Amino acid sequence: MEVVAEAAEGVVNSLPVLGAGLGFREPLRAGVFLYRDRIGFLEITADHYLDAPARKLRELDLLAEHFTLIPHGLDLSLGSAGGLDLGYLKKLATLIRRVGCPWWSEHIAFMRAGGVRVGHLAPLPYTREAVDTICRNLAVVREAIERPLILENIAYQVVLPGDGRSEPEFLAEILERSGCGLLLDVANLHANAINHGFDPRAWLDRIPLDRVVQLHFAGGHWKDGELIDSHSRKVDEAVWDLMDAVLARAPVRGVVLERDEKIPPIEELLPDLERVRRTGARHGLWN
Amino acid sequence: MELARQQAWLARLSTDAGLRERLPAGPPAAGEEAAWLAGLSARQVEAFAETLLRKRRSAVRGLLPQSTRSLGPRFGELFRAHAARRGHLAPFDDARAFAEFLAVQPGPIAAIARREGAALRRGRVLQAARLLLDKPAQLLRDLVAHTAKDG
Ligand SMILES: [Fe+2]
Repeated sequence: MEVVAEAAEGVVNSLPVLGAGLGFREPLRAGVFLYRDRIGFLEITADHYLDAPARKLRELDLLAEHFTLIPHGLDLSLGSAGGLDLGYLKKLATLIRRVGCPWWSEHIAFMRAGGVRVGHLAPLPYTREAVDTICRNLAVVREAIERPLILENIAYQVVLPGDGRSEPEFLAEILERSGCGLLLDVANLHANAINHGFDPRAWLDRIPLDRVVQLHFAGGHWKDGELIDSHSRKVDEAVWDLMDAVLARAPVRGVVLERDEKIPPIEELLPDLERVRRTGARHGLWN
Repeated sequence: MELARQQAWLARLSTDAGLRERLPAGPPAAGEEAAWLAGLSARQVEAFAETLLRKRRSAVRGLLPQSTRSLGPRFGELFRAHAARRGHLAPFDDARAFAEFLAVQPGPIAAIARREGAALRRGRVLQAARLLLDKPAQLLRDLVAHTAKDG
């Protein structure tokens, strides 16, 4: 187990520094080329290209000619006790080969169970069995995809009964055993801290920050007294503060702004990327 | 209770409004499962279910723009009624099922939804035909994989 962790540390250290990136969405297509020099890299939603027509794959190749692309998967369901969908995994492997990325990412969550599709990232219980399950599934993934995989913490509304582990302990155990890096979503952390009443700074003190490869950040909205992680609004100052705290302490290689709803003209997103670039530069992560 | 059962319960509870309504009357299970269900927060599960519904709704809005426009403020309530009957579906199947549901409602929406549902199906056939021309091998693999999808 220690060997895995050490090897993983080596992998994290050897990953390239990408800086301030943007989650690519179709309405932003013209804009990303127009402002090419202000965007460090693009994260693409892997699922959008798995059954894509030739036109969409040509778009992907064009993007890959101009940007480093980081595929971000949604539907692998790494936490499913029923195992992985091998047909889906094979398509994902083909996409990752085509893009030639330095790393790719998925979530610590499950998407389907007992023949039911949840249609959204569902939380795992913080239990030994869930750690075993995700590590077993990750071993299958590694057989199909060699590129380093980093795992994202999700925003959760439901806390399932656990066996005494905390979320940071659960995440640390998965990273330690699997050798994967962490994609730390600071907006998810902020929403979880608000909705479940914990201190996000203390949470950060309890996870292996030396494993953080990439960050996500976004703006959410309030509904019935709860903060929903909808990627639909301007980024909260509290999220910027958390990002600053992480960039000061973790060897982060890249940060991605996610926007999924009410996508504005790209000119409104660029100042956020500039702010990420400046913050990372201040902490000596990039220029 | 093993993880597979826990996940199956959360998946069912968060996609089945009827099942959630029956919960307060006592867990629809016994022993270990009842104890596990009692440890869930009904409020949290309801909030998660709302998020799922919201996500479904916004995907279907994009696929049925004319029906959405013509329903106006009634969209939300009718979609909720449809969703309660059908559980979770992938966006395209959801839109098609919702169009079928609207097609039997009173008023002018029935004809609009019928037309839009039919257009959606035609679009899907065209897409499949295009995929067949682009990458026949992948389409075949998908068909095989589809029958072997995990639960
Ligand atoms: Fe995220």
